Amino acid sequence: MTRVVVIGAGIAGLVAAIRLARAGVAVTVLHKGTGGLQLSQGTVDILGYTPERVERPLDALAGFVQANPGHPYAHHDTQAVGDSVAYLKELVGPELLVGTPSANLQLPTAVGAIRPTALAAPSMIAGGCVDGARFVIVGLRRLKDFYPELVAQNLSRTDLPGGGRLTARHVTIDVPAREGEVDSFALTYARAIDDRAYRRRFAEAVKAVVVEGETVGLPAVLGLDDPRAWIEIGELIGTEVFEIPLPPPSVPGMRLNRALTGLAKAAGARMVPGSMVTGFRSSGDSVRSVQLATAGGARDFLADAFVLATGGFEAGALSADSYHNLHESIFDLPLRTPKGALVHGDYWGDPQPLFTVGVETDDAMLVRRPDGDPVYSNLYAAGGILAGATRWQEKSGEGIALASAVRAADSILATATTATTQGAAS
Amino acid sequence: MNSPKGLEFAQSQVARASLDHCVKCTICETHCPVSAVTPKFTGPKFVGPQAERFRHGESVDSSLEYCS
Repeated sequence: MTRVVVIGAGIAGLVAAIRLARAGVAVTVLHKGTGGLQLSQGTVDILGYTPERVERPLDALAGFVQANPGHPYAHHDTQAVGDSVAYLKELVGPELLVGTPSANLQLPTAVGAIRPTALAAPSMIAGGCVDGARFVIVGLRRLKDFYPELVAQNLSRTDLPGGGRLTARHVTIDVPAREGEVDSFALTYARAIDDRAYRRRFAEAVKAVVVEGETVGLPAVLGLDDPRAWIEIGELIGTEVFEIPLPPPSVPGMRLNRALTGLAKAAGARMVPGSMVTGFRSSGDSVRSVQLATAGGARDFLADAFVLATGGFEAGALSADSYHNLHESIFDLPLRTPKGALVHGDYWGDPQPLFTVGVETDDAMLVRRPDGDPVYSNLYAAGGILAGATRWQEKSGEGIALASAVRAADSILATATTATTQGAAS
Repeated sequence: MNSPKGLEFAQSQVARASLDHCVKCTICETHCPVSAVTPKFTGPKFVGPQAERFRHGESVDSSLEYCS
């Protein structure tokens, strides 16, 4: 049986693990802590800005790659990106993700900007920013991460991507999630809304402030465990409602992270959380094992192939010292580094070149030396560690993660099949 | 730097470095079993990196004792 170790449990690590485990591979996922997916908006970006706002991400990909030849998307054709996004959508189902990789939704953010994204939770869809929409943005007095006035006023003054304007007003209500608590997190509200009695009280308080014809925008706290809580709230209010994602703790991000982690475990992947991978052993041109820093000493995890899905600087997978010496934290892999200054002094200016630093791969997602050969014959990379993207500006993070995770998994499976066939023949 | 004062300074620098480096990802909040069940504990983010900024005298919040 093929054994694979995936390092990292963000969207790339989890999706690679699920795809491999479902194909019969013995997968172990080593992760230091909770992956970045739960910090996300619970949406799936493919391409939002080129830098022009993108309406149809798959159609825009070819031109975008031509203009950015070193981009992680350069290893994937449009079909592969679309299929990878569809794979995730199929995995988690329509209770968590709807939409299509071929067209971007234009959804309101917690500051009232309009953000392009390809897939979103079904609970967000009624927030589509189209000409003539009438929103009432309802805030919660004790929730400090959501300012309905800011959202409503910014939305109202924005020329919409598809032309025209929408109208939005704001209301603040007070339905304490827990008595005696004056400063509650989104998660506290989400847990309260999982309780049907509270859910009813909450919906009644919202209903009291809604005017007929308005669509209700609420902070994304409409249930954590119950994926149908938002539907019932809409029914109780008697109008369409939508969730606006908040800064962490992001409830929609938590829902996705829980679903994918559950699917990985159900597929048989062994999750090993809580410790860092600090070293590795190699023999010849292949990695034989990675070492996990557990209590009492390092433990070796042997495998036939390894997927490096550890993220970027923000995750500690890459580091820079004060001399701008750059390192990948586990294998000290060669990094692709842009020419010139890595950090410029203009805080509000162009993206910092530093954040395009990462590892380079071939089309199979094998880590290679910049413009050279693979570093090891069995070390693949996926997600935020890949060089050449400015994810938060392009709105490309999830799409890159999915395309590279699916490709890495499929490359490992193809190699395993070849090896088995050769074994059978000999 | 081997004087007690030097060691104390080094210790406080280490403590500040770790707490001031908190990026408020709130992953701690989502995993905390105590704040999930009572509003009396304000949660690891408030009690840790936030309340740590009350640097003179006694802690303003003793709810951490619920955890032990």
